[in-house]
Amino acid sequence: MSLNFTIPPIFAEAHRQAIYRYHSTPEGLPPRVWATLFEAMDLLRTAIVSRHSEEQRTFASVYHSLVDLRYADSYIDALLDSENPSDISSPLWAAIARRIDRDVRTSGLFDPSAPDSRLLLSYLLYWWQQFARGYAFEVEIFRDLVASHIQFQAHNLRVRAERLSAADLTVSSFRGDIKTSAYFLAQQRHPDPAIDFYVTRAWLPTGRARVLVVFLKPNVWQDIDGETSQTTLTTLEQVLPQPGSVQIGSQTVIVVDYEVWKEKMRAYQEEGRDVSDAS
Amino acid sequence: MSQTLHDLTNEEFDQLIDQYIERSARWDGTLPLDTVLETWNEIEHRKEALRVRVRLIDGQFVLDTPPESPLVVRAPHTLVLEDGSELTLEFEEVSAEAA
Repeated sequence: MSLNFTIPPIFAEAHRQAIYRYHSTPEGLPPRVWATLFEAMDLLRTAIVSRHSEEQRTFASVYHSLVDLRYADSYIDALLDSENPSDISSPLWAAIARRIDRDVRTSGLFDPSAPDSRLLLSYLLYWWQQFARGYAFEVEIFRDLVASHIQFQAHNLRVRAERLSAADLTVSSFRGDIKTSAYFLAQQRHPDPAIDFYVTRAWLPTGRARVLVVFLKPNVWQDIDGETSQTTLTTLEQVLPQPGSVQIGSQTVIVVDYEVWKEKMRAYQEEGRDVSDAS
Repeated sequence: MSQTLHDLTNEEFDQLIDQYIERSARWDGTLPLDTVLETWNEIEHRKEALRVRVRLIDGQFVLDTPPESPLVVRAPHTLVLEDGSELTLEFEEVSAEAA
């Protein structure tokens, strides 16, 4: 078998090291390594594997055919058909990850003697992790919003084209995205400016608790509520569940506890301030 | 020296992937809040343009970068990025006619 890999020249040693560390301790990377990992996985989208000179495929196209087309729809169906999507997502994720491992090794696109084959497998598993965990979380939030009597319009997860839409849901006139924290961060390299808020889940080390939080643009929070406490990246945990305003790079971001956000949105919708809501 | 996937034998790589799947199955993508905010800040920081001040002092070009910059001046005309890649600047004085 003659396999050639073309890795973007800008892909550096630091990217390779971040990928190794991710596979060693996926949940325990420091911030700078996460940032480098996201760069690495974005760069690998355009990496090319060629089996013969006439057959060249980007890593993104391999993901599309070997992972997305084969497993995404059935995985989403299983989540939506389950009463407990968060319970089934773990074993299902792992079972499909093992199949992806086997599939790629028998696809003719993996050669143990070509070291960059490992980058291809790494790329496929990383994106499968982001996809699978992200949608399990999204289904969980959609169900909670229904139970909480929040009016919203969601994209249809069973339809692939809708899954690719920029926003996951619209609550009143606000466009939102629901992402696990790892997926949310990966997206921040190229965020969609039309997104008004993000729902994510984080771990509070001091309080030793998992919380759902919402990140909003200041003008969006102003429309809904308007009150915040100025805080810093390191003191935000002490401010929550009250809304806090933090500086991320050059932008100001409002961070709100998910339950507080829902309460404010419910009041916003009940007061009829929701002029552009069509749901 | 930090490791990469290339440093592993085939058996070690297979074992790493196996452990990764086991470990990831127990992790739902949730990160500590401080990690989320610091990583987000780092991502935004990397989007900012890198600034280099070039001063001409007694006919010599002197490069200077801000204290928090990921660029470091290693040699009079050489800048080094955090990932080790180097940028060497070549200055040449030419007359207006030659340019």
